[in-house]
Amino acid sequence: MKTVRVLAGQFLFFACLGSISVQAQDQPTKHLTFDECVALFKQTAEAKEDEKVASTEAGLPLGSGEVAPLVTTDVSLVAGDKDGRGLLSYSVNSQTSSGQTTDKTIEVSVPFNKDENQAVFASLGGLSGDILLTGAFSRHNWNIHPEAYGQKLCTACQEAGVTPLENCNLGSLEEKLKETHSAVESRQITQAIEDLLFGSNTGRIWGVEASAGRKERSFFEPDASKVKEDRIAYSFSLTGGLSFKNSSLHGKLVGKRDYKEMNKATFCSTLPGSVLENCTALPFGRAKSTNSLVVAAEDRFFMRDFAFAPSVEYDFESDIWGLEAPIFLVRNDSGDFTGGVKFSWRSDQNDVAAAVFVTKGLKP
Amino acid sequence: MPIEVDIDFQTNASDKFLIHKKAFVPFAGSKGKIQVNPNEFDLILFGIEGAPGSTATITLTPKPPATIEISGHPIKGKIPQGRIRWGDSRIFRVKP
Repeated sequence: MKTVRVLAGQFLFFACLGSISVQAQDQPTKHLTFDECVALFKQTAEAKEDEKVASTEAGLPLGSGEVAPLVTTDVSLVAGDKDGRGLLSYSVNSQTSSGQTTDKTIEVSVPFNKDENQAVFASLGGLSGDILLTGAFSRHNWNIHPEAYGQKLCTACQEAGVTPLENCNLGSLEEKLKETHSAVESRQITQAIEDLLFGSNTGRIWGVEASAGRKERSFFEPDASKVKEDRIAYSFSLTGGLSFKNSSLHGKLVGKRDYKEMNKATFCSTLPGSVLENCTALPFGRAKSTNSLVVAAEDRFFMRDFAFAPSVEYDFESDIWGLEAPIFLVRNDSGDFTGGVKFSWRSDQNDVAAAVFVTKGLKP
Repeated sequence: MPIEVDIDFQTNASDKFLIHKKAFVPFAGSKGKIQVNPNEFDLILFGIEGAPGSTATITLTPKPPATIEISGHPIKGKIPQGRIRWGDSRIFRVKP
């Protein structure tokens, strides 16, 4: 009788265990509901607001900052050319969890040909000098709108039949839409949703720059004696910009002190035992210092097959206008626009100059 | 107990961002980290700004033995011609 009870007990125990095991195997995988989908994006947007206030008070970011470093750095070294000048720059890039990206850059530039005065082509804001040293600080802020984007994306995924809903993203939505729409229409629909993520402008940038340029200058005094000097030219500037869907707009205010060499005079001396003369041409007199306040604006448009970056500058001190219109037609291996044709005009020279140029890849 | 997930965000664009829950994730070069609760649906939003043709590849790797359920991974994106930005999102779940 006792044996029967034990066997019955064991049967009941294993029967229960089997039942539990079957329940675990049959338990359906939980999928994301539409409301949960929308809520995920909403939480991200709300949390961003919370973090803004908290980070202002504590000076520290919240959330994932517990794991990730608060400020990280990225070092890069760039060498390129810019209007007849070679340049070398060193930059440190830091990001914080409040969405700010800070760049600190030091740039040294020298002209390829020291015999020619190669100030930045047609630029009123540039400095002259054999060696130019520039320090720059800039800060970029993203303008992201998760809630409106998430609401639209979750709705579009549900209507298009993206299942399960946790697979909802712009890539999977576009693939699903292609079953009922053309590829162009599908891309247009997903890009319209993507535009909600960024809002009217993608981001804002502002910065300050300081430059100093050294140039050794030789000139004749009135008594034909040859004198050398190397006064430092310098400039300070404020920059600001906005980026949009396919273009970016930048503004700059530059205050600078530079030096303009005087017209040249020629001094000739007779060579001993010859009828020939040895002549030297140098500026007559010390270079004249010039102060300028320049305001500039530049718009960079990125089209399908070319890019266009017109800029306008005005020098308040000398009442000179400058216009530049580089058209980028050539790309490098990475697809960056790196060269093309540039037209420029200065009101004091009153003629249009055209040049073929090669430069660093154009960035927004 | 939250699980650590490594993020590798490779891009040749000028700027990038990745938002997880409460913050923009800071990156040291291409490397970042987030912490997620196991078995819960979670979300990342990300994007790049740069010249048309700039690309991005994002890889999420949870600390072993955890695994990640995510569609379209590694995440690949490209700024289309005639635009200077690209962005998307992923809903994912980490299993311990």
